[in-house]
Amino acid sequence: MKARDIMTTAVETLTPDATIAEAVRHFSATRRHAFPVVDATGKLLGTVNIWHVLQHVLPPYIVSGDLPDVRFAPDLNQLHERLASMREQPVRAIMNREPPTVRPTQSVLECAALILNTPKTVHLLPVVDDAGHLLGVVAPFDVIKEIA
Amino acid sequence: MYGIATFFLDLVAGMEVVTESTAHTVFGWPPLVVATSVFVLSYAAIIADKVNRAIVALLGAALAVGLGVVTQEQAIRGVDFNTIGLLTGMMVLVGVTKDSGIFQFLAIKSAKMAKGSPWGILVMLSIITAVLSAFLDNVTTVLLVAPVTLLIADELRISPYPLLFAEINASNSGGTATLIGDPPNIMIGSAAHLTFNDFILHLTPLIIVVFAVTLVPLWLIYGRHLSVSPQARERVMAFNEYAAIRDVRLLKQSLTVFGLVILGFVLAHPLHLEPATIALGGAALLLLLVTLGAGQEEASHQLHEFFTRVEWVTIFFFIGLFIIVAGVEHAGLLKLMAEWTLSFTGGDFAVTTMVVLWVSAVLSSIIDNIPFVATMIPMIKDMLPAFQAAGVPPHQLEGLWWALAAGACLGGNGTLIGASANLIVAGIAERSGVPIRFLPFLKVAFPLMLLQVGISAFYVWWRYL
Repeated sequence: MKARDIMTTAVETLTPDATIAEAVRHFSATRRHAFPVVDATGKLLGTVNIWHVLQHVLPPYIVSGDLPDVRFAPDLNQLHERLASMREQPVRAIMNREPPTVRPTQSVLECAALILNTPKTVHLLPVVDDAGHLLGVVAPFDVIKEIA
Repeated sequence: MYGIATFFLDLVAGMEVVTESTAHTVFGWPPLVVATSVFVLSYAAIIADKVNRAIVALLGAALAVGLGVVTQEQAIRGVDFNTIGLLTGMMVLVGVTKDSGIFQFLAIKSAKMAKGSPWGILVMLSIITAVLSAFLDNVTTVLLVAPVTLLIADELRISPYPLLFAEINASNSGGTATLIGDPPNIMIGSAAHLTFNDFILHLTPLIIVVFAVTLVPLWLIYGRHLSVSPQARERVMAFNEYAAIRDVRLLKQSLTVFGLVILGFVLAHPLHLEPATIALGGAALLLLLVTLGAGQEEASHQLHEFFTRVEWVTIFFFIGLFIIVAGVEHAGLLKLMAEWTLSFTGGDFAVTTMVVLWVSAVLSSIIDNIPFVATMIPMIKDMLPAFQAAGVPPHQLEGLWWALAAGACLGGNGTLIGASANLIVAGIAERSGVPIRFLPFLKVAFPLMLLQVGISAFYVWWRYL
């Protein structure tokens, strides 16, 4: 079985100029954790997921793991300010510009391996043609739904 | 019957035979040339920093043995296991203790004691860094204090740079104060038979003065420009330091064992105990207490985790270096260097002591002070008989060791690459978008280091010369 057999083709996408606030509304409305970001021609530019947003909200020394435990700080004052300041920033500022992708002819096994073995959790695997145009996406669920 | 006693007798006899054997260099090359080449190449590679220093040191050690500069037995006798044991024991103790959250507690408590004033926080965090560095290794200290500092600076809306700068300085200065504060001191104490109490009596007073005097330029350069709003102060005062304590049982166990270990260091002399025995004994006791009551599998898992926190890279670096230095020592290079130094200083004890202090400081600000001190120790030992013959009393001779310790440890303050702790802070700062650059750091740090070594020079002159 190939990626094209299990991929979802009716994909909701974001443009790079969409604001982070719009992206968050999208996450919330669709209950999805990640979206591909494409230009006007449908070419894949990157992916954005809720962890990207979260990483952007937290101070870098917490994201890097240098300060893993902040239970002594009653609330991070700067959290609210950062959230407010992010609202109008474009998605391109936080998206992953080099997400792992697959071709439609790659095997489901390869898709599963990519989803699991990439250093940062992959929430969606874009399927692209040779020119980099988005054809569909493979989500972790698509790999295992055969079981059900 | 071949009993256990016979086995040990054979073992001892075997060791004696081995001890008798002497090294022969391959192809009959002159040992001095081979040993010096291995030494120079290894140190050049350590300074170039392209390959991890532990790998370089172990390769150099393998070459020293492989080319016949020293036998394996001589190499192993060259390794100061008192230093290795003390380092490893303290690393285990700290590795276990840090899970309790005590170090974050201390950092936040100190910031709150300053009532949120930025200069007060700089001073308090520096004091806590210096005190922790005096008893723990400097890298661990800054790894625990620097991230909390970034958070505090964020909440105060000030640049963390002055605070981090002061902490780097405090960490190296604090490490100079005690036998266990900095690896060079551990080596010096072990080689020159200087006890924990000797360091407290001779170096701690100097470091208190150095620390206090350093605050003056720090205030002029950074402190007087720091100001924060009342709201910012309140944000820091709202921190709950008690929430940082993650494990009260572990805290009690750790503090008890730490207390016993320090007591052990203080009483080491009357108890006839070497520091390695005390540190490793303490580590074993703490590991026993922590794993007590856990199932066998859980205990094994915990133990495995704790041992991974020992910085094996540093430990193996030490082992390799000791062997390389044993090579040049056996070959007679260090004796030659000692003679050269004495002819340069005219055999004058005061001049030699000052040269040792200043050269140690300047070189340690550029190269790693561990290989430097590892080389200096046997060299100084070679010089001592000449001074003894010239009638220099023993308490004055000790001044040479204090000059080496103060120079080598405080030298780390001179540049960003002067000590591992400096680079660790720079790394944490860089990840948070506050890069600490080499030259801007140098401009403030190097003159400060010269000031500190100047104070040390006065102290050594006043007390020992």
